Amino acid sequence: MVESTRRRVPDDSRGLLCCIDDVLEKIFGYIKKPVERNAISAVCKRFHELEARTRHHVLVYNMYAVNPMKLFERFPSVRSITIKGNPRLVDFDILPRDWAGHAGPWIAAIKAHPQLNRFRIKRMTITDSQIEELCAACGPNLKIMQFDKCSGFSTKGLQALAKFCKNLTHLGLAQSMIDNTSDTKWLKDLVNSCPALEYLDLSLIEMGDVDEAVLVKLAERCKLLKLWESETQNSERFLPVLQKCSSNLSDLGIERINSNSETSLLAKCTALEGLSGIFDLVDDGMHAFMSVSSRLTRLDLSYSNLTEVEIAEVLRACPNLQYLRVLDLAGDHGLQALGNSCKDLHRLVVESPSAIDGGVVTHAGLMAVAQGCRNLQKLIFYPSFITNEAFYALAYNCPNLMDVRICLIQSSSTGENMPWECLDEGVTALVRECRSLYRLTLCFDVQADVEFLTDAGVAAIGEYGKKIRVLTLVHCGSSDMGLVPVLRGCNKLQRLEIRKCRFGDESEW
Amino acid sequence: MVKVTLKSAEGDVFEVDEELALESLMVKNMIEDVGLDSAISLPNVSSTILAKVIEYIKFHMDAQKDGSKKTSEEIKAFDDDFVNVGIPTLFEMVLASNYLNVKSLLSLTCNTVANMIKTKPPAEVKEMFTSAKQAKA
Repeated sequence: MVESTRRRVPDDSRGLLCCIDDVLEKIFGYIKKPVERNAISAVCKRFHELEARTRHHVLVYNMYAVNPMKLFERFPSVRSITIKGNPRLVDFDILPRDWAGHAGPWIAAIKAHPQLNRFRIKRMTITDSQIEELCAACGPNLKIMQFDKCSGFSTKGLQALAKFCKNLTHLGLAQSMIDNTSDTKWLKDLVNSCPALEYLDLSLIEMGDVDEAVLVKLAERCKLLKLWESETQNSERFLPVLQKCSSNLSDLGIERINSNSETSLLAKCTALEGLSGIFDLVDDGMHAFMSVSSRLTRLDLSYSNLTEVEIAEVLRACPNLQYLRVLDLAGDHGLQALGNSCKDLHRLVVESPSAIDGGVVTHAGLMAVAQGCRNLQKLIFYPSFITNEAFYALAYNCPNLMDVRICLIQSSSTGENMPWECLDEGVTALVRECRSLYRLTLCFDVQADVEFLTDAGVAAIGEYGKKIRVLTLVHCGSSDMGLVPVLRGCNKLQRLEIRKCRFGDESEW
Repeated sequence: MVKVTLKSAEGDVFEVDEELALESLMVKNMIEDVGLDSAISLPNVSSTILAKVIEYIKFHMDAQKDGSKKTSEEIKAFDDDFVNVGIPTLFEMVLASNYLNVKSLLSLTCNTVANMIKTKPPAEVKEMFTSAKQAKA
């Protein structure tokens, strides 16, 4: 019976549009990226239906625009869902807490789809009872769970993971706000009831006293283990982790390395490629760090208190680094070391600590990075001063840049007396030369007697930024003469954020 | 060595080793059902495409045999070259490998089509599929 429907169509209408669904499904099976899947679903009605029926992974980029029930109606075979919640602005307290980004409606929809094996959310609020509902519904199917920068739940909700999700391999709670963390029973139960758990990310999660036996079990089996919170904690408490970590471990997050004895412990981790946490490298810490630094490809020092000189020393010892996250404490000196040593760098994040007056990075450090790290794809940079020359250096040295976010910040050591210049030409060069650019942020919110980006500079983004999907402009342009060309030209635009810009209503701002 | 006779849509006859013919699960089933006495008729596969399918299976069977000196680079080069054909031919190979049920060739051709689709905007994909249809019609 099936055979009759599977027969091919008559010869006069050959071509794959007329071939059977099985073959198209097979072809679609090789197309994985959400962007590519979206493109094929726009080819014709049949492709749309087939693609929807066979899509396993869904990325919800803009949760306000999607009805959860309708999403599952369209993609009934979803196995994996990633939902981006609130915009990044909530991190800076610009939006009220609990403004939106509630997981409730999503959990309600997922309950009818117990086949889900990956659930990842970012910047959302999820309650204990919602976590319980999710775990009870999907149970042993759930293998990967990630709550990035989420809030609204406590260790009581996490207890459900151990109860229902016996096959969990991956749990990430990085930078979430979790209540009642002094109770560590959930972690003990999780380790005991989920034998397959290999990835555990508890970066910046405050934790009570965890049993040594639990730490040892985690250290023995994990490939990724990040356990660090604040620098005030007793530096010895995670020592069992270092003592027992296995040759499987590829990513370690720990608060301190500070003794010579730890050198040999770290050196045992032959698969280690990523290090995070590391508030300081006191005593013999630098020595211990050097024993593994040459194999590191990922390094996150965004909570470290290392000085500019120490950071430069660290970076000179990491020739294979591909991903680096640091604070502006690195200074131009640290960035120069980076440009000289880390030729294979792909992603660089140089943040500015919001509360403390940190270090200063400027155009000089950025130019050193651009000239040294020519494979750079992603750059997030908070300089105190910047010039057209720095933009030229990026434009002409780093053709693979896809994601560039530059936010000028007001710093005590720079300010109105600096020789600021209009950045139209630099920004134009950047968008013209970096053809793969899909995300651009230009935030020029500092006091200066110059217009950083005029309408001409904004219009250039529209003229050249043909692949830009996410655009953020702060304090850019002076009228609609800038924005209108962006809206006409950037026809791939999915998300636009404009603040403190004189746009709209004939610019009567 | 037992031989199997395959007959293409145009009626051309291809005589191949049984071992090679069995790589097509569809032909294998036919042989199990009707035996080897008469030619196996493949009305959905043209002579050109059938010859190519046979060439593909033969190369990979030889490459897998003990004593084969083919490196994985050479095999990849053969595959790349094999699917480096016009869209209409490629589509016909997809359909033939599906009909004949030759898993490895179906994967290779489907993957090739997928890679072509990925880099094109929807309108061009649509054109690609419909023009292949016209070329054949």
